[in-house]
Amino acid sequence: MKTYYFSETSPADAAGDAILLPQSTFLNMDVLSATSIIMQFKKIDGTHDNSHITITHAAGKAIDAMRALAAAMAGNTKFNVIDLVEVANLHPVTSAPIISAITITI
Amino acid sequence: MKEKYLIFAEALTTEDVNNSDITVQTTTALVDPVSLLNATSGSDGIIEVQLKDHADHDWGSHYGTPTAGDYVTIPHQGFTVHASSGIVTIVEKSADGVYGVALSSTAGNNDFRFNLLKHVDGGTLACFPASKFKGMQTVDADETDLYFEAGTGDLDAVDVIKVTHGANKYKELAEMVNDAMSSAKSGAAIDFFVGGSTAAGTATIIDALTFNGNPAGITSVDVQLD
Repeated sequence: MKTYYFSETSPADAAGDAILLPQSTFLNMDVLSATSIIMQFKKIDGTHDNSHITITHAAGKAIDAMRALAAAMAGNTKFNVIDLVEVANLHPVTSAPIISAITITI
Repeated sequence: MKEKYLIFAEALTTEDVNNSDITVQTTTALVDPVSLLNATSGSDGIIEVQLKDHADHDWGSHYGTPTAGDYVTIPHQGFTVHASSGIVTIVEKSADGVYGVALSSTAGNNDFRFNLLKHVDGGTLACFPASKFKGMQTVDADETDLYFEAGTGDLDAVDVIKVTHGANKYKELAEMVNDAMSSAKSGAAIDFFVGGSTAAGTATIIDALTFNGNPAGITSVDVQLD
């Protein structure tokens, strides 16, 4: 089973700093603004809601950020725990890393 | 089976605002809400501003001698965008002899066109995992709804992609969807349908992207999120 790791800070040492979500709970991505998209997952506490990750990216690069994240999620990896932001920024679809920050909403 | 990720995007909007002075109010027909536009929307390449040339206009040196009636693209140096109101203000030639322009004193001679070049508003661009696909059904001869589990997490709702396609092309669309979701392509997102420009003429033209040669003849999608 693949899992996706997100961390607002490193090391993660306080409540809400990081989250690990299984691939099977990923619902979709939507654009929020010129500089942000949202990744939505089934709510971590099991209620009929979502947990989401807000991705801050370079202006006007929503579709590039989505493509980079989708490629990171779909790619072959040595490990099943995928640090999505790290992988997406290491192998961006454009020439430079495009994700600058994330916000976790559990 | 490996997970696939499908991208859907609506067409990029365009809006004509006629009879204006140098402060031009864009509306939700272009971006909804207009507060998604901000001071860097021009330099970031989010919007394109054009002015229909009229004999009354006095253009900066950048523009040469435009043809009357043509929409002339004003570079980002030639306008400013308000931080949140969606108002675009044209730089006057008296302030910038290169990129500025002196408009006609007759408002009716000042017709603007705004072209969105990037998807920036919610519900216009979305990506779904194939595993959350719930099915698709015809709406009419040239429209079909694709259903996905709702991103809100509401188990009693769905997210819908309404696809407009060639008449009687439901089966071709079904085959496209099946092929996209079982595609041998891995390690990358699949651009199922990414809408391009609706603007024409002298505007920046962005072509739509379609999957697998578009056998269903998709012309547009409408992203309807729960």
